Amino acid sequence: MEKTYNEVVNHLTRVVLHLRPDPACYEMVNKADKVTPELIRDFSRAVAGRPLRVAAMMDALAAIGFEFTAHNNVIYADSQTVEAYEVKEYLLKQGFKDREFQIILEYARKWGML
Amino acid sequence: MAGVPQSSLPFIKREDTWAIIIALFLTVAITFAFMAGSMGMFKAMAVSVPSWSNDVSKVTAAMGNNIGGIITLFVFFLVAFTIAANVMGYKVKNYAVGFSVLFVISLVITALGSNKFLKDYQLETPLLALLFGMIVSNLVKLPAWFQEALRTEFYVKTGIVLMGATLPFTIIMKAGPLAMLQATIVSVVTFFSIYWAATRLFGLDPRFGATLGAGGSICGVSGSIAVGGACRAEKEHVSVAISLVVIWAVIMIAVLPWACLKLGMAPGPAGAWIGTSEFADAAGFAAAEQYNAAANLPKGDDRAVKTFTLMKVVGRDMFVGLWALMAAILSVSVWEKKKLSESERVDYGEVWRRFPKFVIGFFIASIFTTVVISMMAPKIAAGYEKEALGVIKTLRGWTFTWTFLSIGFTTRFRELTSFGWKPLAAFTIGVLINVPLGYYLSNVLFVDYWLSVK
Repeated sequence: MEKTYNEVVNHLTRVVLHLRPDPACYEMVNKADKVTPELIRDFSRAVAGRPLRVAAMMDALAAIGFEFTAHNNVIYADSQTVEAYEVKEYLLKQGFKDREFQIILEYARKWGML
Repeated sequence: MAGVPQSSLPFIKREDTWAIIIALFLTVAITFAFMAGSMGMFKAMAVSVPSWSNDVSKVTAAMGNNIGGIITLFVFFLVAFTIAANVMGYKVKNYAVGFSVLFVISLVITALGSNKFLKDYQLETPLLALLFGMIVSNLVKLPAWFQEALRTEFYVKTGIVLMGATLPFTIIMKAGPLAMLQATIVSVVTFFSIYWAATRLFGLDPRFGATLGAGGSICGVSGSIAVGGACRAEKEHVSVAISLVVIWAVIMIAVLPWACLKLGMAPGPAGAWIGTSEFADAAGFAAAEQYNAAANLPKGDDRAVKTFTLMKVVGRDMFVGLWALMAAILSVSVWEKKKLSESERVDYGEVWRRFPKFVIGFFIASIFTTVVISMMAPKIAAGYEKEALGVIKTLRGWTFTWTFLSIGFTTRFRELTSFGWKPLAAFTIGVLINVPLGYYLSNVLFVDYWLSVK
């Protein structure tokens, strides 16, 4: 998007994609009134589905120019052009849920002032 | 690395790391030199300029007599900063040439700032450096190689860690809790005043309001950057908030020391007020040093700079991470109108990620010299404080002069973001609350504490 103002900062938008499932997956087992084989099968599907959701988010993010690195079971998707609010709107529009990703936004002075 | 978010860099490539390494190296080296009885080189490096009126030859003679010291001062910082610049990914050749020019300008400005005629007009070194830099940078486009050396944050962080070496840890322990209390009162009142005015009076986006509030209350540009990032404020909003902080901070560099002098404030409360009501570290040090110089205090009396540091660094800067975490939680839940259980997960690492790491160096330096002094016999300790810490104070003064010049050279008004009247009005409301409240807390309610800091 073309900027119509003087930018005094650079930014790095980082979408954090955990390969481990949401802790809520474990809660469905831990907090279940009755533990059944079917419950564990549901749990298994939820756990196994996580990498596929991450891959789907990576496809979507790659389409808008994000680049990827991996560290400690986490995929980092970085962009210095897309803003944090833009990528959040974009991911939600693509059908992903808030709890499937984390966004970290870092600003830095563009030149050495104050 | 220019313009790259510091927390995304490896530890060794950050400004804070190198500010700590350089300042702690100096502190330890000077301490060992004192113990070994070979302070000669460091004493020579502690270049100071005598006061003069019409006789320029007095200055040139003083500088000529210590040309070896000036060269040692230059070479030490050129080498130290250039090694850091290389690791941090600056353009090394440009940086080295730019710093050399900055050093020469700092010599000239320091000589001019020691002139009695200019001092009568309160044009001491800090204000002179700032004005000179601002006039040049707003009239002439500075060459890229010179801009590479204008590292305000790097120089001020190095100076702050050196400041830690000269500030006994016992004083930090004694005055620190009060500084935190005063900072909390002012920060909370100012932050929510700006936030309320921005969102309720002027209908601005809450993220924009929080970014403006952080700039006006927590720690200036660094506050806006930390909170703006944590709450995912738009880049334009962060740019506007920073531009407002820069303009108000520069105004306050002149206004606060002038007001302290006109109100007849003692150095302790004056420094505390500046630490409470100035917006940025570098600008605050400029204001505190300007007050110190203009108040004609005895040589070595830096109570105002000490109380400023306690208020700003210990009281305000340390807590930016907690403010960022609060903004992050509000952002994904309240402002997005979602329950916490459904909202995006907040990374509690925000607190550490946004913590200004140079503060650790400040504490280490303070603890180091305090322990060294406690292990010495009283007579030797007095000598250490006078000689070794005296040298550190002078070297700190040079890092601050490069800071003030860098502030001036980088405050280019045409490059700031234009803003409408609404953010300006919201921020100004915060200033109108912050400044009198800071005065009341520093010079009335807690005046005894600030007077007791020696």
